[in-house]
Amino acid sequence: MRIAIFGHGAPIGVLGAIGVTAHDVTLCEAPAGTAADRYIEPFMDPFATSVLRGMAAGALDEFAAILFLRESPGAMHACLYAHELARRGVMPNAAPNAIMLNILPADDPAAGRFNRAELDRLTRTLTGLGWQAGAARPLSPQLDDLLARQSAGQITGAAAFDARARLAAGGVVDVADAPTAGPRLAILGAPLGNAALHAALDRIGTLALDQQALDQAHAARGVTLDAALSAQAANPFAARQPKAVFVPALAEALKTHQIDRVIWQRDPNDDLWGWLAPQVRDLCAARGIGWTDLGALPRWPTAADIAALTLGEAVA
Amino acid sequence: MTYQPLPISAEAMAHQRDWAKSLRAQIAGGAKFAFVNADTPHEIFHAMDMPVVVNQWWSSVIAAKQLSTWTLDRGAEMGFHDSLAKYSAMGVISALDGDPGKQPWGGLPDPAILCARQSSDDQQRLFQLYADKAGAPLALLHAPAPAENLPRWWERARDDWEALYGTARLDLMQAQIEELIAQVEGITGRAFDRDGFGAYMERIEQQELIFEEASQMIAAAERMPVRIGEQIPNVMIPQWHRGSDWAVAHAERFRDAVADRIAQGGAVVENERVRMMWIGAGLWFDTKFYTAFEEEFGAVFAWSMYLPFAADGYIRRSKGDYLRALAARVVTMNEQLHQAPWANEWLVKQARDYRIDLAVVLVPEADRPSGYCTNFITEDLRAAGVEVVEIHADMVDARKWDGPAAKSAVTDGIRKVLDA
Repeated sequence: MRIAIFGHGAPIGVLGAIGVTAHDVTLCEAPAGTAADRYIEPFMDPFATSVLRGMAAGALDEFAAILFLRESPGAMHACLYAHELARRGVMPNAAPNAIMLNILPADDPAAGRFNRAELDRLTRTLTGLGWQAGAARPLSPQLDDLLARQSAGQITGAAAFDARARLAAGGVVDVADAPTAGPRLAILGAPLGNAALHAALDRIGTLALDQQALDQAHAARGVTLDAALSAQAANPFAARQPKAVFVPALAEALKTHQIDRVIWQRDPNDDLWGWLAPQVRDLCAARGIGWTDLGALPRWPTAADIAALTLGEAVA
Repeated sequence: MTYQPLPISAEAMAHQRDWAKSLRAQIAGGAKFAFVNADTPHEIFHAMDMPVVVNQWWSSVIAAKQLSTWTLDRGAEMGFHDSLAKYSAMGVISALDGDPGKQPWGGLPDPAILCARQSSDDQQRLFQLYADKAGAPLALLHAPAPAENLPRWWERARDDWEALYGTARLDLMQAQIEELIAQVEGITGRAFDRDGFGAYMERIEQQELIFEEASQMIAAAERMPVRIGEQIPNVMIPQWHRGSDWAVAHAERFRDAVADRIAQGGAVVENERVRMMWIGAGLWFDTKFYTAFEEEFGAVFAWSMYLPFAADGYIRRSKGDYLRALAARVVTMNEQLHQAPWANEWLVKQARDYRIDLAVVLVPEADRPSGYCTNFITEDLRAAGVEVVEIHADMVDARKWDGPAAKSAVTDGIRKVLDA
């Protein structure tokens, strides 16, 4: 049986350690016009909106279950809406089971006990659906390799983004070298659904660093369960990381990857990353790193959205 | 007939003023206080005699003093974009701004500890900003979700909370409460009195049961005896001091005053024609809105969440383990008001109990956890025969408030009810 996972920073290492292979459907864009739409408020997290539409339209029926990451913004609400839509008879019977998955990014003893209890619940639930544990493919080495090649200017930011998306969704990646040049850029802020902005930035310089990729790579680490849970707890880029480690970790990343300019962007209804923007702006100013705030941008930006940004001027 | 406020309403307000004055004096005198979110275990701080400033209460004070526009504009100047939440943020922005001339009481000194629950995605970021500014520890409580939001929570939550909320989540919350106790012990130098805590929790339950009686009386009254503008302070001021002798006694006085008013045939309006419910947090900068439809239409706001939630949201029978009962109280506190099917089912039940004709739903788009579930709520209320008006506005952001448009929308809703 096939299992999907929804949410940024999927704990692939943790799941792999308990024998679960999950295909990441977070970036799948589903069109409007489904039976679920009348219940979706316009300010809902756009990834949550999309997965609900996908489930309602039957686009995800190949999966027996979708694991919703409570610690990913919007994913908890997506799961609750999926449950409620099923209760109301709006969700088709063939839609995947929506399973709430709590993996706290913390390693204090209480959190550790809780995480293990949650994983026990997960395996019981999946077993009830017919799942059997199997060997899961570790993604961490390939994700780390993509980070390194992107930073080295061997592959473009867009190619790296697409490769990570394919990899997480269960595909195979083989990205040929395509050397980049120019000022070294970092794209920070809220996660994006496609590589349109990345491609535009590739035309301006070397898109050497992507916060979304750092989160994904951290979350995928760990082969044993202990190591994988520790990796979750230590992920400074996890959206709901309870420790104040984002800014110091980002400072280190900007230094390691020799970033010249930060490109900051967010979702129009962002209620999380914006609280960090002034600190990142000030960090950049203190380090002599350029700062460009693109403001609000749709999560699946179109060519018109990108053109409206006048990136050449904004990044100059 | 001119509406006469209950005499005890002034008593509640006076108590809060005295308490605020006393707190201000204590703080000015160097007393250590905690800055906490509304959905955290205040009981621990109260039990250890550590003063508490509740973030959302402080936010409502800022709004009521017409300082929200200044504060939120300052937030924009600091670089915080306009889609970010306001209700939980205004006190933090005010503290970061630090202008004593633009804060109630001339501003708060730095708290000795901050406490928030990660019930929404922004709390860890927001509270860390304040903790960094204050140089104070942040007690951040995890907020994992239940596997499933089981139906009819208000029936199960009082006794069957272990099954309703889940053992793993309760274990986690209880362990975090124990950690919080240790932190507060370290700050105050006082030991936590576990026996005394049990007695204190029993007084809280007593208080909430009294409020339940008051709620049932108001719901059943032929005509609405007390405006929600009066219900709210008579409930929430004791709730901020829950379990204290004054709070329990005031709850009794409120219940008795309501009973007297009903027995004497007193009512908000003589010719009550439409009963309304206000869904969402209080409209703190324009509370007169609640009375704007009485004279012309005989339309009365009869319900706000604060009174009925005192019982349903707080009564968790201890079964001998008071810290676990406290964990059960806070583990899902806010979510019950904003997540499906909890919120929609409970609101329909309340609308039926209160014989509501028209529901006015506040939809704060920049406070998404409070705005989610709106479409489930409106559909279920309409299915239950309740007319619904949505107002897209924020509970503390006066800049976004279009009073005439809101009045017009509610007026249209009232006319639909009257024409039906």
